[in-house]
Amino acid sequence: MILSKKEILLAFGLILGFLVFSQGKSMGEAKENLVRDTNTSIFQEIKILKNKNKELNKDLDNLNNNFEKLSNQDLAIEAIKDDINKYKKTSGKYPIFGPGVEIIIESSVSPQFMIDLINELYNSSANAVSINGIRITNQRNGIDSMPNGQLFIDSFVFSTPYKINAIGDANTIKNLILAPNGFIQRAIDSNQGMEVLVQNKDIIQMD
Amino acid sequence: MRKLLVISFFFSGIILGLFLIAQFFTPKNIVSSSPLHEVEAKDSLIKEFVEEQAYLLTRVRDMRKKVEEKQIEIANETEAYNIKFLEDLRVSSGLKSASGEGVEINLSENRTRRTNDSIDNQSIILASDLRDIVNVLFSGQAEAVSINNHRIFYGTVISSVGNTVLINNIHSSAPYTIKAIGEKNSLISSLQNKKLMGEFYRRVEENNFKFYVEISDDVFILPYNGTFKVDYINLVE
Repeated sequence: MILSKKEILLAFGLILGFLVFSQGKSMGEAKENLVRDTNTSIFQEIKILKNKNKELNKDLDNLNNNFEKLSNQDLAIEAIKDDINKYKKTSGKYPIFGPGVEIIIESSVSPQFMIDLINELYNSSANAVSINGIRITNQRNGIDSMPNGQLFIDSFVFSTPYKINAIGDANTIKNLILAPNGFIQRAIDSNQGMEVLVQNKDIIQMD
Repeated sequence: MRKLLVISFFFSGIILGLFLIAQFFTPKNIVSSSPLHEVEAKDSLIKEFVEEQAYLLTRVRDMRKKVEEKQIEIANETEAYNIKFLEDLRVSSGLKSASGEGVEINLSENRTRRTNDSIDNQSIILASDLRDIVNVLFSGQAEAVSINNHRIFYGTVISSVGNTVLINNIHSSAPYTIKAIGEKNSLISSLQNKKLMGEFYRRVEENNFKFYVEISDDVFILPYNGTFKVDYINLVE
């Protein structure tokens, strides 16, 4: 069977079209996954686990010290006061302040983006995080969106610009989120036109 | 006509070349593809760290309980402080176990996988899937949530690492049991939120994940037994 020139050209066109379509689809999928979940290497995985175990050992030492203080009449009340102060900070029921970073996002974003950003901030050692002044605590509900694209948590509706504050070591936080292929880079790559400003803040207050 | 054919083939060649270059530079969507010896070393080390983690977590939980009992004992003896106040702070911080009505979700992959498998990350349960579930449960006003018995609190980090997931940097892998305490109907309704869960349900369908939600009157969730980072936080007096 001999194909005509038109048929050959048509076959070529179809194959090329299919290849270009497949390529576009696979690149889109790869991008989407890379934005939400990064592929950490096995060495990083081991490093993370090792550090976590160190952290748990430190926590165990602190608890042992605390128990020893509680067993000493002179130190017991002081130890309890220290615990009360620590849990006041974590309970989310008391106003707090500290240094950290402020992230300003001018574009509208999805709840998933905000969930991932908060996750990344805590991953980079943030102690506390707030969105447009509202601190994320155990008493808050999840993040949802309004039909017009605004975000809301509990009864608070947030519009652009979003101001996300994180209390913690500013350098550590910035090093992680602003790293090449870090969260901010990936967010900008996948959201054309997204404007993100990250700046140090000496004092951030959260109520 | 011959000239047209040559031009067509020439441009087809250029497009094909561009396609091959793009294909070559597309980020690889593989979670793990390590050489065998690297995988064996990794598995062995990870196993060691995970076992140590389980041991340390148990010790932290026991020690915290001992500290708590001692504090109650002192409060009863001296009345120097209000133990109820401290207990309330512990509850708010997720340091007390919780029980009540709620839901129990079972999420698993439709395959048996080994850590040395080379897997397209489309086909495994990702940290982002778990983050989305946790978020909708809290949106449904869950009072407490846990994944594979790890209590979720405001600062919980859920991240994908290799073929597994780290919850507060503690190794976890499928199958996942996600528990939530709260008003049942509100939790179920929140889980049906297509805006927040649409992408997750698409992935469940495409990858044949097993996703079951069971309503229960008696869900029990363990307290958080990890560490809190408060070094940079000051209380406004």
